[in-house]
Amino acid sequence: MYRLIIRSIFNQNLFLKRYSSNSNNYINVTIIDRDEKLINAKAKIGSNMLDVVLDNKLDIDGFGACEGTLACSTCHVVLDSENYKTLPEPVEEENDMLDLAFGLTPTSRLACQIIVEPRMKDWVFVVPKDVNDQR
Amino acid sequence: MFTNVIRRCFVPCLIRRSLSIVSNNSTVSSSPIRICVIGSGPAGFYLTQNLLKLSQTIPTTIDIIEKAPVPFGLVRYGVAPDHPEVKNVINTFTKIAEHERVRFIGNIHIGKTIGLKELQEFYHIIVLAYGSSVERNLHIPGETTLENVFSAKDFVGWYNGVPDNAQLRPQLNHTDQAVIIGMGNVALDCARMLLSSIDDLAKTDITDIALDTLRQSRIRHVILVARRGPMQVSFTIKELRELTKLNGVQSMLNKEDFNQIDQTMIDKLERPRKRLSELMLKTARTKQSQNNAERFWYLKFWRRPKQLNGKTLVESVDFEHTESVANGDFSDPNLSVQPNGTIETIPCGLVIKSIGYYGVQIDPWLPFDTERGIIRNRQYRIDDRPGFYCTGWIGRGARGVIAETTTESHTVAKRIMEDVEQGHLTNLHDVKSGGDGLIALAKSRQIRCISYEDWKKLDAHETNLGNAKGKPREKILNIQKMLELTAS
Repeated sequence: MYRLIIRSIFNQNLFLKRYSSNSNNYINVTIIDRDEKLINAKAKIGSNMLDVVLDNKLDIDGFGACEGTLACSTCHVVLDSENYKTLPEPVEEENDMLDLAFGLTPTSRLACQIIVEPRMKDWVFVVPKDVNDQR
Repeated sequence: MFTNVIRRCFVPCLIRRSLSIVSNNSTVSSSPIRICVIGSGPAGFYLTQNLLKLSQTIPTTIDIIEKAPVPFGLVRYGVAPDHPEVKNVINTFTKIAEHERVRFIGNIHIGKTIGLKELQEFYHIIVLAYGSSVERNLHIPGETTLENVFSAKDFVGWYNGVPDNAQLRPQLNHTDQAVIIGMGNVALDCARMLLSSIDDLAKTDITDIALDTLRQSRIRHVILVARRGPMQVSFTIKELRELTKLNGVQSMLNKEDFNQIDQTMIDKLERPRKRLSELMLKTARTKQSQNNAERFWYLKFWRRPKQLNGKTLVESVDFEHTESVANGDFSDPNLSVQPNGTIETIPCGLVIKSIGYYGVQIDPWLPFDTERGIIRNRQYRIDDRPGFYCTGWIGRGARGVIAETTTESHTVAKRIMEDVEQGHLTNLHDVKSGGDGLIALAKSRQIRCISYEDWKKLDAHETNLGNAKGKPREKILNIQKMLELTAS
């Protein structure tokens, strides 16, 4: 009898846990850091991708130095071309900062300008190497 | 992923083993490697950040030495007051300064009160990151004899609260026209300070003295003049765009200056130069209709200053017109020009020279390239001085925004740690006292060192003073007062 009660409580908790990670507020995204490590991150809808890196406490050197004010290019990320095309155009000021980004690609954006939407579930964001490794 | 696992276990192991080969003992020396970074601007701080990252398995301490009683170098004294977001990097720097392996030591002037060679007693590795503090001069008649002629370095220092520039006293209320010689980001900063609305400036950390002087300014026309053409400008797009969007200010670019630029030329350019040229073109070709414009800025190309005229105050500048040398390519960044014989006089009551900077040789023992104003180095290793490195402007020349210095610091840190790991530095097994030794020596010479905690007291005072007036801070202009406030 007790076992029944405990099991149903246990199942409830599991159910709640599963529900909250799929809740409307968060989606899962993948961030690949400069060491090519794959990181699963929870991205809050409506926040920007710099917030996501900070909220997930990812250890990426110097990422977001100007704290999202379009005064640097350290939150430079690369998307795959299909996803990139679906983003709204960068404002001129973002392009001005991307000019300075090391290893700029045609599908580069600044993470602080990408607002998380539900459709970005499972998107991959690559943090490119920030210097030519000459070793 | 497996290689990742191997890399993470194997490499620190290798490092430890190579270190024990370096040291005479069979176990790794527990005495830390002492690193000294001279200069606490972006170069110094970003290098420190990268060294910390790369030295997590090797005991090291890093001391950041600064000549002034306050840290941050040009982030405090160079970045314009209306660019507070650029100063956000200070939050990153604070975390670095408060790291357990880092110590900030202010008010120590290396090369003056403590010799560069003397540092070797306390440190295994010394990195020079002290920037470029001397302005280039024109060497033309009137430059040093007439009043109201300033280097951009001094003008910027004046509105940014550099103690040495507190008494500059530029006169801005007897004239409506200013000439700025040079077209770099510093020239644009100076133009923007002269053209911005006082209400906007009043909310920044510009000094009160500068604010009062600008409030009474009658300057309405700011003319930036360059020796060469639009494809050789040194300013960057963010700063130019800002100027084109300034409220109540009209851009006065000459369409004819851009006639030689066609789409073929533009398409061959690298992205940053391409977008910059396109913005200039657009600004020149768009019919401006800012009806409420009260102030104007101009770009005049192909003019080299020949002499400054006036009785006591400057009254005009004579320019000789230039043209490209034979076979010169209009879009060549290194285009050479020659005079074409025509002279033009531009009247003005204020002249600011903004034609670049170079570094100083802080100690005769430092190998120095006087012509370029940089420390002689190969891949950041200072010539003939094992254990000595350089980073930032003092190693590569005074060009580029913070982002470039940040990128460079990764490479410099890697280079230093390479030398450590590969046993190129032979003194690493010596026990050295680092900051403790340096501070003791400074004390014996009656120098009071400022710690980061001391700076925070001054920081709080400046912030409170500023907040009372609706500003982020009010900078203290007097060195003695600064030192007092760090002790309170």
